[in-house]
Amino acid sequence: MAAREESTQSANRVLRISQLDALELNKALEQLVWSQFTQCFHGFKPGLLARFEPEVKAFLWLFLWRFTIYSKNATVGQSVLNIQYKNDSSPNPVYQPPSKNQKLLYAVCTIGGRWLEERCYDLFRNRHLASFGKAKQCMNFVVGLLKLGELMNFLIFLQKGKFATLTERLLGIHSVFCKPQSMREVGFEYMNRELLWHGFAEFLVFLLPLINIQKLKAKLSSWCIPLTSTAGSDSTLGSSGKECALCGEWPTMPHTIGCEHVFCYYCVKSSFLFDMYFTCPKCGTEVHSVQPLKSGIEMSEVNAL
Amino acid sequence: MAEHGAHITTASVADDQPSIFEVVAQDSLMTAVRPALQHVVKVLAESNPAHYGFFWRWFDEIFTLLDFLLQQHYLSRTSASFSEHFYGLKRIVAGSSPQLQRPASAGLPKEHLWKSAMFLVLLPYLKVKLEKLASTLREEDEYSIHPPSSHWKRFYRVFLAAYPFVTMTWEGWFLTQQLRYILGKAEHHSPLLKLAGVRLGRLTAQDIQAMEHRLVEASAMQEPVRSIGKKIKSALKKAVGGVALSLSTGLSVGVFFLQFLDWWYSSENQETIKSLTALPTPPPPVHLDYNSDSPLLPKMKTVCPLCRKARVNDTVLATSGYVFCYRCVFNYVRSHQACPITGYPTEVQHLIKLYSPEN
Repeated sequence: MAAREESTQSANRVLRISQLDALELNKALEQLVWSQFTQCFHGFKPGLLARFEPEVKAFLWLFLWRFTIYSKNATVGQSVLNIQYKNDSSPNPVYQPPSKNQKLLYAVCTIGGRWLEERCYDLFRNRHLASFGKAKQCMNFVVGLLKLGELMNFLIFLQKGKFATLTERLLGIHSVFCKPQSMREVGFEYMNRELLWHGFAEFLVFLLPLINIQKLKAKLSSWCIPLTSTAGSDSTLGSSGKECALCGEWPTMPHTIGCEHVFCYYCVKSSFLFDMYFTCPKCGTEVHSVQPLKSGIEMSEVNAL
Repeated sequence: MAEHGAHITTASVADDQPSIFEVVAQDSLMTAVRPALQHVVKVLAESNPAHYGFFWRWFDEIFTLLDFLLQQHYLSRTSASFSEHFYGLKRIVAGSSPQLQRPASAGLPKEHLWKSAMFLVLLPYLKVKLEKLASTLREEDEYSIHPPSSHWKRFYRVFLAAYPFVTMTWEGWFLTQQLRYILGKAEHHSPLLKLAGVRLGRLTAQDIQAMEHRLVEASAMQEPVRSIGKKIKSALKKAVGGVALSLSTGLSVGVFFLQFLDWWYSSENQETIKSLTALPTPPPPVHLDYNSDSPLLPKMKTVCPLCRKARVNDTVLATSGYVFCYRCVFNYVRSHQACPITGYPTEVQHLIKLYSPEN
């Protein structure tokens, strides 16, 4: 009898990673449902849902709560992972579902708390200015306290393996497996490829701001100088100063940087602002100053090229 | 967003029914392929309109045809569409008992295969066409381009007014079905699966082994001698199969690159990419004021430098920034091909009309 109770106790132990995965799945599901819901209003005027977004979201989450926690004792993420909530207050090792009060309090804490968080500034803004400041300070204090509590609860969770969130600890409900676990054989070839892509995309987001793209472009264009210089010397446009050395078009408000080539004002000024060490892509001369072609003498020199 | 959930749930549960994350992730995978390919074709068409313009004009039709070949190949070989197979799923005929289920490598029955192919390929094509028609009419309505006949005009107005509600009903239908699937009250995550008479299930170990065995068997198979008619028929079948196989292989390898394109050109990243690649906007040029002591320029700024009278139809030269009367500068540039002040080479297309706030 004691051995059977012992095995039942150990069999119901839920991995920490499974509980965290369930939380992750809940968040992913909420994003999924919300994006599908906004897709319904794709044909309408943009911004139609923006005014009442917190209320609509709260209603959707309440609907999900009604058909998951209230009737099945598990969130969607938990049911996918074969997990459900158990009432922790009863000493009986046999499974005991959460009571109705615990379920209602769960809805109040999660759905109501989130709605309040999104709406609190709107609510307090209607008050007087002085009381608004005081209420805002009080609200910030409460929010900070809650976050500190969540952090401490998470550390305790990592130590003991129960009560992944503060709400679960306060309500006295924890996760257990519905039925014994079993392994499944699956090909991870495509899954790994997908995850590899997502990691690569995040790495790109991290890496792109570090690259000087304009300098790369200038280098690539300077590598093409031998081809364009021979072609440029033959063409009429290049010899008569009718071609911007950067964009290749007829220059708008032509300017020079101290060499014999002509640039648009916009092209050369923006490149110089972006890169203080900007050089002429045709001949590599450093920029001394951006000066307009403004006198007839310079025009005759340019025409003589 | 659903891909992460799909990965978490893949190896966790030994249930036959896939999780909502897996089914939505495979839907979004195929959805991402179309805009990526569309952008590739657009770039090609812009670079060489003579050669690739045909592909851009008929992109929807060509994409639909290739998509049909691809899906037909996968449905007949793996009982799943391309993206479903990508996520380790298969289609099971509704109402069949587990004992009588066919292995995935045997493919779907004929009727269900054609229904599935129709809903996978033809319906998205019609939806895209309808969306393009609605956006075209909306643009015409906004720019007050009226159709020739009032009869058609009334029809277009009715269509434009009703289209958002039809879209909402359609998407709401899908959302409702998806919510029912999430809560375990429905077998199908999409109404189209129900209409096709199939449901999604996970691939089993026997399915994977059977597919690998079939691949080995197919490479070792030899063709017996047949009559000319049958030879031609088998050659045609081989050609179609080869096209579909190369398509599937190319897509499997290229899906990585396609996802990069989708990510690069998605609306979420446009602001990030634009801020990275755009040059800073320079200040307006101020050094032109230094030239005010030139004898060619009048002292008052509202006077035309050519005719020395108050300006009429203000026109600026793009090559110098100086403003003249349109008539004066047009005649001068047409005859001299140069700016009257700076002498820089100028042509008629560099005349830019200025619109002042008073006009």
